[in-house]
Amino acid sequence: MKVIWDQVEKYYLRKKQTVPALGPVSLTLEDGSFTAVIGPSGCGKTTLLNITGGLLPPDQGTVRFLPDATPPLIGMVFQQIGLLPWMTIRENIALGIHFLPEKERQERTLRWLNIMGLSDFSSAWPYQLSGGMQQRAGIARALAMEPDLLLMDEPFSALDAQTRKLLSEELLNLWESVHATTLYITHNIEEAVYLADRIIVMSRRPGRIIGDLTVDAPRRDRMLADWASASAGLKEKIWKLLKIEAAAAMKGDSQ
Amino acid sequence: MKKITLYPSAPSPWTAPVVFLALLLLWELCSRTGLVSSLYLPSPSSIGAAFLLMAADGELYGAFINSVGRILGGYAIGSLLGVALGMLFGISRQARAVGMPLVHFLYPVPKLALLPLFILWFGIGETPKLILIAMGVFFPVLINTYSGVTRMPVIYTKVSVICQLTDRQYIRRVVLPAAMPSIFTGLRLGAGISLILLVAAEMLAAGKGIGALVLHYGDLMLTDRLMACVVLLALMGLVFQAVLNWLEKRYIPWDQEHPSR
Repeated sequence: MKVIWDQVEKYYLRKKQTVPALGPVSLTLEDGSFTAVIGPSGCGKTTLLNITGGLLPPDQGTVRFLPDATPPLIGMVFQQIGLLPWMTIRENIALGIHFLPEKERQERTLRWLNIMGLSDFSSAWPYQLSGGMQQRAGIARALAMEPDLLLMDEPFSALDAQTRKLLSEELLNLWESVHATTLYITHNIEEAVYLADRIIVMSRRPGRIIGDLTVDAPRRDRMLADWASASAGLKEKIWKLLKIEAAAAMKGDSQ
Repeated sequence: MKKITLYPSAPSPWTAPVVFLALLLLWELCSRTGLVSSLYLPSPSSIGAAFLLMAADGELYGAFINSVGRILGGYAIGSLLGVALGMLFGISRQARAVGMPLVHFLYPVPKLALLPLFILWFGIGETPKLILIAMGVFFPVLINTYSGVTRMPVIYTKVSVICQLTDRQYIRRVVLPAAMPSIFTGLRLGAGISLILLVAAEMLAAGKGIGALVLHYGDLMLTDRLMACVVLLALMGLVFQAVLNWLEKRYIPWDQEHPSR
């Protein structure tokens, strides 16, 4: 699925005045691509994601999906994970595919429980799982939908450093077989360079695109030990773009 | 001064029963020695004897059946309507705009003040008592259900939108369970209120029931029998809360070990 943003803008109200929060942003995501969006806090990257997922309407501009014959199936992984506490892990994963016939739904749920290593927790309540296992279930819920578009909103940023590293490795391994156009929001340069084909750098509020970089290395090379040094130049480039924005955003300046 | 701690020592299982027994004994002594006239405060043993006597001749049972019918009927009507309207006002902003001001206007009215009006409208039968109890239960259940729905974290709604739930699925599988702990808070408050209103209504306008019996034995100055009725009311309250505890465990199984419990 191809995603086309055309002059997308969002405002918010402060003391009865509209303040620009995002954009204008124009960008096209190619079918089957993995794009990371990175930017300073408050730059509107989550807003962009929410608009794309249909959770917020844009104030200006449009988001289009191609082919547009059928409404797109969108999977989303949240920073807050968002498992429903009153459903078991199995029921949580099945929630996104409630429209499938019973048998197919069960099969798919079981398959994703397996893939994410959650089989033993099938009937557990979410609170009985560690944060990392909970987010595995969150990812399983999104991927079990076999979505055309996968939206990930800082999915690992609430987890500890080791779990984060492990889960991003798993995602990297898994992703090739998923075939979903992916938009991944993060503030972590390392993570963006490790996972994505393309990295969009955003300015401080109101967020605009100030960098569009390609990650050339094939995914299997990124798991090698020398990826850290091989990607150093790219990370430096991103950091240079981000540094000024992040510093200004911290002081509370907008553009 | 004692240092505060995160881990206060657990009480011995004997502490509470021993203290209760000691208090009962003290009460018994006060009565037996004539320190307090047994007319004004009958001894626990005489209350117990009266209770057994009244239970044996079926007097308590008859009153109990009458009262239980009223309280359960009124409670069921009030709590069902409370949950339904609380959900509606919580979910629909249009319904909320009309309904909640009305709720805030009517909630503080002492429901007992409406009993004469209800009797005028519905006669002196069971209807006005049922409606009175239902109204007393309705408001706390509605208000707690409503606040449970409106305080539901936004993330659950986001997940529901992304998972493309229908509105019926959203209400039954997301909003209702999310509000469940809050609904139970309302049900507990309602249980206490329903007992109060039951007795008040029976004292004002009933021939049968525990409240009427209390008044009857008050007039006859048979205070041990009066107190036996009060004991029965207290037991009803205990059972009511125990049933609610049981229901809560059954219907909210997902956070049995939640730190707040």
